[in-house]
Amino acid sequence: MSLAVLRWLVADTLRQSLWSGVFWLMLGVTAAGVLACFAVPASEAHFLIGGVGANIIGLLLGLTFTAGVLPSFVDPNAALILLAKPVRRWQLLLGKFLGVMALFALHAALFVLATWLALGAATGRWPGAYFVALPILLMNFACFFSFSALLAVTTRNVAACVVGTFLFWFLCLLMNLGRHAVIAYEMEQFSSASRFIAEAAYWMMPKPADALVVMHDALLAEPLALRDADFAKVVNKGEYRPNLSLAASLIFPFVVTALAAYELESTEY
Amino acid sequence: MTALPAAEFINVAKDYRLGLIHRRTLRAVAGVSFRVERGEVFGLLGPNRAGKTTLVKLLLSLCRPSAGDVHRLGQPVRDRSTLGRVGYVHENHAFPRYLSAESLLAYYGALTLIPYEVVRERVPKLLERVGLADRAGDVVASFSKGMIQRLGLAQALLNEPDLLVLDEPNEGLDLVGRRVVADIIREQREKGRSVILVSHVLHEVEQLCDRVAVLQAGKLAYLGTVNELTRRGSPEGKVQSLETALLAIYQRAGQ
Repeated sequence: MSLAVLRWLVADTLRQSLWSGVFWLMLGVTAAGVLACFAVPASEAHFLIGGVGANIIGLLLGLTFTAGVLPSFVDPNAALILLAKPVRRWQLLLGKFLGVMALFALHAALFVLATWLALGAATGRWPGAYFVALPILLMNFACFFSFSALLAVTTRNVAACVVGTFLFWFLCLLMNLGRHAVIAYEMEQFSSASRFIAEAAYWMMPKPADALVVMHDALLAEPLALRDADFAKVVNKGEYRPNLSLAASLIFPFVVTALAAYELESTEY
Repeated sequence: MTALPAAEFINVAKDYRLGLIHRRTLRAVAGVSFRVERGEVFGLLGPNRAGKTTLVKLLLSLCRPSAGDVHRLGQPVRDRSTLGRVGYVHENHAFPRYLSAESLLAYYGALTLIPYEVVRERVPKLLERVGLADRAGDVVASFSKGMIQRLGLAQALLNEPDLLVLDEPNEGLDLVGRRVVADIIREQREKGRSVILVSHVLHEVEQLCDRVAVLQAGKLAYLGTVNELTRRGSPEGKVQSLETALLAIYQRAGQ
């Protein structure tokens, strides 16, 4: 793959975001986040709210703002000439995907840094662990944007990308919490086959709830397992492995982006 | 040894699958064979839905044949490297609206795998050639349809293509723009390069094309020179207009 091609596609995505206003919209969200830091009364959970906010609201906003990039790119009226170039289709998709990732990474880093400074100024505390929010946010975004990319190449429809990705995020959240609930409450009514399916889905799909637990534990001295009796059962049974959970989630965007690339390669225009 | 053809269709068929579960099929092209020689300006004619654009898409690897083989510049179309020697213009192309004419050509040049230095050298000349030199720094969003079509022509010429594929290149162009297209087609021929022209503008086809293929309902209804076509079927070989000749072919094929 030509690095020059990749560089052009990434630069093109950033230019597109500037022209369409998405760049400034994302900057506005960071500014709003900074203002909110001063508006909320100082507490122990101050930084946690910032991190969780970034990983739920920031993630969903980021997915919404960037949802239009790929459907417009693969739309036949815009794509025919590009697809008749010698560059392979999967390379075009990868370039645009990385462009969106670069755009989001830039704004995520700005958000985390700016809110850390604002929260530090408001509370007088400067926890370095707050920066854990950044890689977790990027991993979560990569997972769900890859799903959005798959929807983009199959439907070429922005609304389908937004709604489908939101539903998928919600499904993953439910699946993640449900799997822990099955273990914590030892639900006998579930057959071993159902438990196997829940376990397989848990390991295959992104785990947004686990990502939030990792951030919680990094930010607060008292881990969630000590605060929440039900979650403690999962931890005590050795069924919560944060490192493995994050590593397994990280595989998801690679597999789904490869699927999206395969779909685009085999699409007939 | 004769030069390999610029394009070759060997008993090509193309079926599109329709419907949610792809149960219905539409035969867009049925058993078409012909070749476009090097240095030839070749016209593709036919009514709407005759299969012209499908043939172009098959040639540019935008879709795959259901049967038969397609060769581009002597290689099977699955070899994408030959796309680097092809230029393509199609009607109603939506270029990124946020790019300036200059940056759009640089971007498309990169995707055609042309070294940046070469692109930088060619862009001003091409913009001059298509009459957009004074708008080089303006974004596509501010361009009229005709100007976008000229820009499309410039991007197609960026790699000095051995095969130029023009699908309705005059769509939205004014008289001057049409003249530019015609001049470029003639220049390509003089340089020994090939052009495939899909057009409904018959006088342009008459003036520019060495040979034409007429398609009707996905089948090849005629292959030959425009001269032969205009004398075909008329009493005592009298020359008739291309329009009359084409209508006669469509009627015969429709019966």
